[in-house]
Amino acid sequence: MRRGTVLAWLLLHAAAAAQDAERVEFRVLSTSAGATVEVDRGASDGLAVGDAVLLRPRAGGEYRGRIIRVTDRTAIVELLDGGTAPPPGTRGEAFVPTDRRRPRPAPEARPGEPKPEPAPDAGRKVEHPPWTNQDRGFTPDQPLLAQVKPIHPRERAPRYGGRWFTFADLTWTRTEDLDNSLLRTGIDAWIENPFGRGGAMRFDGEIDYLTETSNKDGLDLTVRELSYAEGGTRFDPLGWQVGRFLLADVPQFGLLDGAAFSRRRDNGHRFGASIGFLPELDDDMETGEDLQIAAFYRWVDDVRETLAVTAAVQKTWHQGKSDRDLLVLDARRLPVDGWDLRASVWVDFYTGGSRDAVKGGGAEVTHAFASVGRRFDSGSGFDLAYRRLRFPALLRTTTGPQIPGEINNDRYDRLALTWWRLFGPERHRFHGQLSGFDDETTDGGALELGVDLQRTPYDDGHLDLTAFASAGRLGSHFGGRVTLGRTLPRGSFDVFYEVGNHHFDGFTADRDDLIQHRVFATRTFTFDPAWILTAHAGAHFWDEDSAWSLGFFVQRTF
Amino acid sequence: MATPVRRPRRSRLLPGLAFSVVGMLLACATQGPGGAELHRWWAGLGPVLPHDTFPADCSLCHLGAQWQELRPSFTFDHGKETGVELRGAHANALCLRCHNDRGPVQVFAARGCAGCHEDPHFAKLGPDCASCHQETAWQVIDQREAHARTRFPLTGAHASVACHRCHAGALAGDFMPTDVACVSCHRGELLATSNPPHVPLGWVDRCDRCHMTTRWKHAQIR
Repeated sequence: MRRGTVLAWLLLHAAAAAQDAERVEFRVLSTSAGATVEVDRGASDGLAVGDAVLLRPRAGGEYRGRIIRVTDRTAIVELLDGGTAPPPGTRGEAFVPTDRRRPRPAPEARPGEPKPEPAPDAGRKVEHPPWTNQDRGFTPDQPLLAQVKPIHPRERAPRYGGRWFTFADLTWTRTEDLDNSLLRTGIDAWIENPFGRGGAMRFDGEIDYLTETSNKDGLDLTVRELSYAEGGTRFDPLGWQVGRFLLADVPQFGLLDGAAFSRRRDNGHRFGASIGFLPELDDDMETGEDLQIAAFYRWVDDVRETLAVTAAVQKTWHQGKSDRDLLVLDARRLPVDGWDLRASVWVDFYTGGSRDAVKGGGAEVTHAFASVGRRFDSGSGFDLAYRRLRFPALLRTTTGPQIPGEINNDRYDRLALTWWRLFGPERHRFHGQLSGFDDETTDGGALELGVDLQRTPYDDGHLDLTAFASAGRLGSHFGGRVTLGRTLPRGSFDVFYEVGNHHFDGFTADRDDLIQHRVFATRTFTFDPAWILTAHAGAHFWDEDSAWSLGFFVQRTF
Repeated sequence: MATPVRRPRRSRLLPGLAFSVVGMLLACATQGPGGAELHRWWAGLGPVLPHDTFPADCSLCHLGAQWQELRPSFTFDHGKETGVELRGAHANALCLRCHNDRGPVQVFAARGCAGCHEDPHFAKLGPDCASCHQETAWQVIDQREAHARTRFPLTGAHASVACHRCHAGALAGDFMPTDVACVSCHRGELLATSNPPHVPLGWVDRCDRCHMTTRWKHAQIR
C-alpha cells in the first residue's frame, strides 16, 4: 500500500474514531472526464460534500477522493490523484458521523419539478397486506440487490420462457459447383416448477436443412437438451437431472442421455456421478451405442469459488465392449486481482483391449488447454493460450482420423499470445496476436496487428484497420482488412473488407500467387425487447471466380 | 470424417419451414404474463422486498390500488442501481433468470460467461466466448477471418463453403480441428476422377502437389 494511501486510510479511521462515525460502503456507478466518478450512495446514506473517500479497484491499488456533490441516492467524487478513473463496480468507503445516518423524512418535490401523474385513486389511503418478506439480512451499506431473500422454488407459480430462432444462409458460386445453403430453426424453452416441486424442465432442439454433407433421408432433428432437474439450490444441496443434457460440472464429458446426481457440501465442495449413453456428435445425434459411467469431485477454496479444481473419471463401453478410460483435470482461478487462469487436461488410459494395438498401452494426454490472462486498470491486457491435441484410439465413432497410423501420429500444438492496449481520450485500441503451431507434417504461425479507432469516422462508430501475415499448411499469406461499425438507434451496422495475397508453395512463379478479396456486411434491427433480426450479405472474389452469400438471423424471446 | 455428398433434399424443406412457423407462432402466442414489458415482473413471481423507504408517492411505480401491477413506464436502471450495465440480450432477460435461489449473482458473474451459460463446446475451445459470440445473440454470423490464424487459412474455394462441411460436428457444438489432409474431405472427388484416373496411377494423397484451392481444373503436373 502506498504511503499516501496509508495516510488517507489512517485519517479516515481517525476521523471516524473522533466523531463516533460509521463506515459507508459503496460502489462506483460511472466515470466521466475530469477524474470524477459517481457512486451509488448519497445524502440518504449520510454522505455529504467534503467527505473523504477511498476507492479500491478489484485489480489492486487504491484511489483517494473527496465528495464534491451529492444527491439523495448518489454522490460525485473527485479523485485527488487524477489520472485514470477506476471502473464501474469498484468498491469504496467513507466514514460519516453517526447522526447523519438517522432516518430522514421523505424528500419533498423540488420547486418546478413536474409531479408524477397521480393514480386514479390518488388521495385515498390504500392499505396493503403486511410484508411477508422482512429481509432482515439486508443492511444499507450493501448493494440494492445483495442478499435478496429468494422465494422457495416450491412456493413459486410455474413459469416458462425461451426463444425461437431461425438462421438461413445461401451461398452460390459462379463457376465451381460449390453452392450450398443452410437453414436452422429451433426452440430453446424452459418451464420452472412444472410439478410444484421446484424443478426445471428444458428443451433445446432445432431442425436443420442442408444441401450438402448428409446422405440420409428425413428431417435432421437435433435435440441438444430435453431434461428435468431438481435440487442443487441453496435450499437443497442434493441435485439430480434426467434426460438429455450437458454435464454442467464436467462439460468435458459431453452430452449425456441418462441421469446425474450431485451434492454440494457445506464448504462449497461438490461431488457427483452420472450414468447413461453418449449421443453421436453429428447432426443426427443418435444414441444407444456408447454407455458411460462417470464421477467427479470439485474442490473450491471458499464459497466464492475463487479457485476451483475438478477431478473426474469416465468409463465407456461401445456396443458392450470396453472403450474409453478417461481422466479429466480442470482448474480455474477467477480474475479477482486481474489474473485469469484456466486449464483443462484430458488423459486417456489404455489398459487392455484392441485399442492398445494402436497406442501401445499406457497413458496419454490427448487434449490439453491452458490459458493465462491479465487485465490492467488501464483497460489493456493480454492472454496467452496453449492447446495440445492428440487423437485417442476409440471404438466410438469420432470426427477425428480413422486410420490407425493417423490416430497414432496425428498431433497439433498451438501457442497464441493476444494483447491489446488502450490509448488516448477516446480509448482507441491497439491489438495484436502472435501464434505458432506444430503438427505431424509442418509448422507455421500467424501475426496480426491492428488499431481500432473509436468514434471514427462517426461519433457512434468505430473503424478497425488490421494487417495480417501467416504461414500455413499450403503456403504463406499476407493482407489487410478494414472493419467499419456503427451503432444506430435501433440496431447496428457493420461492413468488412479484406484483401489478401496467398502464395502457394511448389507452383510455378506465374501462378503461385492468388489475390483474394472479401466483403461482408451485417445490419441488426432490434424491434422491441423480444425481437432481433440480423441480415447479412457477403461476396468473395478470387482468381476468375466469385461467390456470393445472403442470409438472416431472426429471434424472438418469450 | 464422412465424405461430403452433395445431395439436395428438397422434400425436407417444407417440414422444416412448417416447424419454424409453428415455433414462431408458439413463441408469439405463449408470451408470459408481463413478459413483453420492460420490468418483467408479474404476481406469480411472489412478493418483492419491503421497500417502505422508497418515495412516499406509490403511484410513481404502482398503478392504482393493484400492488401487483406496475406502471408500463416503470423501468429499473440496472447500470445505475447496481453498477453493472446490461447489454444486448442481457438487457431483456427476466430478473429471476440471474437473481434466484441458486446463489448470489455476483458469484456467478465473476466466472465470466461460463458462470451462467453451459459450455456447449465441452470446454475444448477455452473460456473466451466473446472471441466468436456476441451479447446480442449466440448465433455466429461469420468467423472466416479468424480462420486466417489457424494452420489452414481459407483460400480460393474453401472461403465460400459452410463450416459444417469440414467440421462434421459443428452443428452439435463440436468444433474440433479437422484433418487437414486433402483427401479427408475430398475422397469423393478423388474416386470420381477419370481423366486422368488418379487411383490407378497411385495419385491418392497430397492433392496440393498439383492442385491449388482455386479450382480442380487448374492443376499443374510436376
